[in-house]
Amino acid sequence: MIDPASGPFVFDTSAESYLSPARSPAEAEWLLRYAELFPMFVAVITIMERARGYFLGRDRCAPARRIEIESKMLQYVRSVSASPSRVLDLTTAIGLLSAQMMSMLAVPPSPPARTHQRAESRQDRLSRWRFDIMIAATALVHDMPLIHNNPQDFEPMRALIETLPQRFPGVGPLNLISVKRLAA
Amino acid sequence: MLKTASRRRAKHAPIQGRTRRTTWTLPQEVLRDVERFASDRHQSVSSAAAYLLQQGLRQQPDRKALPGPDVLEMLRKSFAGLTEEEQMLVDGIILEDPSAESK
Repeated sequence: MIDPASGPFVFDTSAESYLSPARSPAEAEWLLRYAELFPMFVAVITIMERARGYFLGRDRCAPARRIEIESKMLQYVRSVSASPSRVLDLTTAIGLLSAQMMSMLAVPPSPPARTHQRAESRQDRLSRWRFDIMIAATALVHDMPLIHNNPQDFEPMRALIETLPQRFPGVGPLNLISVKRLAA
Repeated sequence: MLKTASRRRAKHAPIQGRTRRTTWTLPQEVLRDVERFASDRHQSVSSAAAYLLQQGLRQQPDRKALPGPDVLEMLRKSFAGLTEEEQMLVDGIILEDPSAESK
């Protein structure tokens, strides 16, 4: 169990989804306690990933469902505008740190996602990997732990910074917390 | 003349609001940077330090701006009822028909 008072934390896109809604009463209680103490910080990259997903979902769905998807997107935008300070913007420091990590971790550590009928393209997998790097860089520059549900992507970044700290002066270590450990 | 006058005003401009004398221990290089900044702007070191601290604090995320439970409810609604594929899309995972990619 992670003490909510030990926050604030940055929530990766996957962690924010995992907790909305919380999957168990213990997680719901953890989240409520956390939300009474700190904002659910997310990187601006998460907002972009989400908005792109809603736009694509709206364009791909049947016309009758479009209004529903738009309404869900509006709820998401409201969750951001109700607490704008929870969104951590991209800054020069985040850009430079992301560039350093992207140059050293050029290839995604796991293959593209797939279901039995559909698959993620290599380009989309690479862009998702780079978005994850920017999210990790945001947490690092703000010196906050990163809550995630995606160890296969974030662990290589943590290991890189731990192995070569001289390449990342003034930041780190990357403190990762699995979303599944929050209330466990 | 105008430049000189504004310089003089800047030099003697009081720090806005009430002030309090205090003693801090700072890294020497930070103090040197603040002194250089103050000198460049023809300000007292106290004014320059107050300005720099205010600027730095403004750039920090507002950790007290909460409305947490409301945000949680909005988040819940934003994901409720999405199909598995739609949820993957808003999680940043875009799945395509592989045959479409090779075309």
